[in-house]
Amino acid sequence: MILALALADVKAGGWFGKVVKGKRQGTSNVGPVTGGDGRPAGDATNVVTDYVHVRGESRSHDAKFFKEITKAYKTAFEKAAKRVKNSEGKSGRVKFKAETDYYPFRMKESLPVVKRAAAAVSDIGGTPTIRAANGGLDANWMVRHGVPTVTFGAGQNEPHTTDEWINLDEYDRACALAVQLATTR
Amino acid sequence: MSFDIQAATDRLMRFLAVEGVTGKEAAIGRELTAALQEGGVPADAIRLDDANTRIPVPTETGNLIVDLPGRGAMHNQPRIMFMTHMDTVPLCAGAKPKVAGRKIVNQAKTALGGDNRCGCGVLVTLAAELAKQKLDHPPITLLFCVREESGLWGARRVKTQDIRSPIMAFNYDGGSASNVTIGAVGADRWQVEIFGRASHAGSRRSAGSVRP
Repeated sequence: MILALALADVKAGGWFGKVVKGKRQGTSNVGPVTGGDGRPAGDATNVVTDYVHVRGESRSHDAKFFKEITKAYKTAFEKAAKRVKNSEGKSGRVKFKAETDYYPFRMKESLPVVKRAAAAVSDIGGTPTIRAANGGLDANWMVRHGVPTVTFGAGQNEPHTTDEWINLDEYDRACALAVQLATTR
Repeated sequence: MSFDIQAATDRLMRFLAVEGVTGKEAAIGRELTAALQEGGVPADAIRLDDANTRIPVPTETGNLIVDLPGRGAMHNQPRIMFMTHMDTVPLCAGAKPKVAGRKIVNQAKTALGGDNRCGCGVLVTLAAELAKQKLDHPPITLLFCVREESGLWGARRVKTQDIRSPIMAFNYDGGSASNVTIGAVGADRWQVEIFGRASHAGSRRSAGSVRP
């Protein structure tokens, strides 16, 4: 019941799924709901479930905003715990833990790495599309380590699904691009 | 730039045939090492780091790191890096890749592993073409990361001195070679434990009489 109230509150506040607050945007999701360590949440229909473990995530290009989304979840769970009381008037409690999985980054288009990347795409006959990704990349950590890093595609399509396939034209272009990048004077 | 397209496709098919789901990258690491050597990279230029000893989840092997000294007119230029990841999502176990025209498809009901054997194929092709065509290039580091698919751990735990502090890097992970990705989101993962008060559903909770 605490979980249901908390999630209803999160949804009502506009913090579930795609989150837009003014100019700031992000996403959030609620993942597995279990009894912890692979057990189901709850044991029987005639026993009030006394333990539930829930995992989720918050994402944004704005470093402060994804923490704000996470905080909205924390507040909702804490409020919900206080609202559900048993016959003796005692409420439940929650233990909420969050950690940063990876940090957002956005490199300036004037950086040498970006200029070299865009020029090499043009040199092999392509039209560079400057973009930002909505998922984490190894580049997130390289940039954090102080190595400015541009990411290119190499032909993968519909990854993480049973419909995955490879576009060999893009793979070949990625190979040509690598040789171009390595030999540009 | 011209390069041997058939050899590049053969390499990709070869890497797709090696299972290497996230955290279990030892076999694909050996295959990449063999292919790099066949492409003309000396054995002593290829090594594994110890990032796996600093990753909090069991990981078979470290990141595969290759050091290509600069050649010709560009040998003194600052070092650059090419990187990708050598693990796949667990859904790729048992994949059966097949070339069909200008596509590679899967004959098994799994994911294929193009994410990210494509990146592996690109980096090994680069090393092989630089050697075969004797092209001038600056010092280059190749980095094949472990555990990208389960927390970006290889890149997170790599030491900059182990990759010889390149001034810039090019990462291969995605669809189109024309996409120049210069930013990405950040993320929190959270968990909450909810402690209620166990009681008989028909008794204390509702202050009613005890029934089975």
